[in-house]
Amino acid sequence: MTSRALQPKPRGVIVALLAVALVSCATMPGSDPVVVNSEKTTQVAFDVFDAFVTLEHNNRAQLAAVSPEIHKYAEVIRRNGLTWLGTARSLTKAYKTNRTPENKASLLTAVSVLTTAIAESQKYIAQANRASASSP
Amino acid sequence: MAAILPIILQLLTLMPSLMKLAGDLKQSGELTPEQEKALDDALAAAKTAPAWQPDPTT
Repeated sequence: MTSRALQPKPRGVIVALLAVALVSCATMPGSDPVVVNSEKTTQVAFDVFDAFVTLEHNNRAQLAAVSPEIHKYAEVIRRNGLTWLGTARSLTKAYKTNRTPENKASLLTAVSVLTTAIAESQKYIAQANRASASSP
Repeated sequence: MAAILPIILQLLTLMPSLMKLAGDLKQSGELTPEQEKALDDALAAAKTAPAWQPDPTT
């Protein structure tokens, strides 16, 4: 089996899934789109962060040779990711309990932080993928 | 090539995560209490997972 045969296409899959996650507005009748989007974004963010830090942890030396920036951003996620996720969860619960404009604004800010970090993480996952694809 | 092979294999191991992601995206309503607990439990478990521990050398 060659490396070409082994080579997965996670970048395309992730891009497609994130596009659905971040653009989709379809919600069940009676559901609050703000809550649905925040919960969906939190779940996706955790999945992406977890995949990214696991990939970096298990291939640290090889990825450091590809780009030291991958390790740097993995450390950013390790040091802040769970706090960002925890904040989003707390603000989601607060908003579900008391749906005020202030709580909504705070929640949207937390979701925005997660969305940015998802995009950055995905960028570095793609960088690792490109490195593996371009290897001889 | 030998140095890159582990990365390729690791990317393959991401596929279960992506399948889970796809499942998450099917969610069109608010989380049930059970789903909320599962998410909160996953976040709590990550705090002690080896891959989530900061590198003490950086």
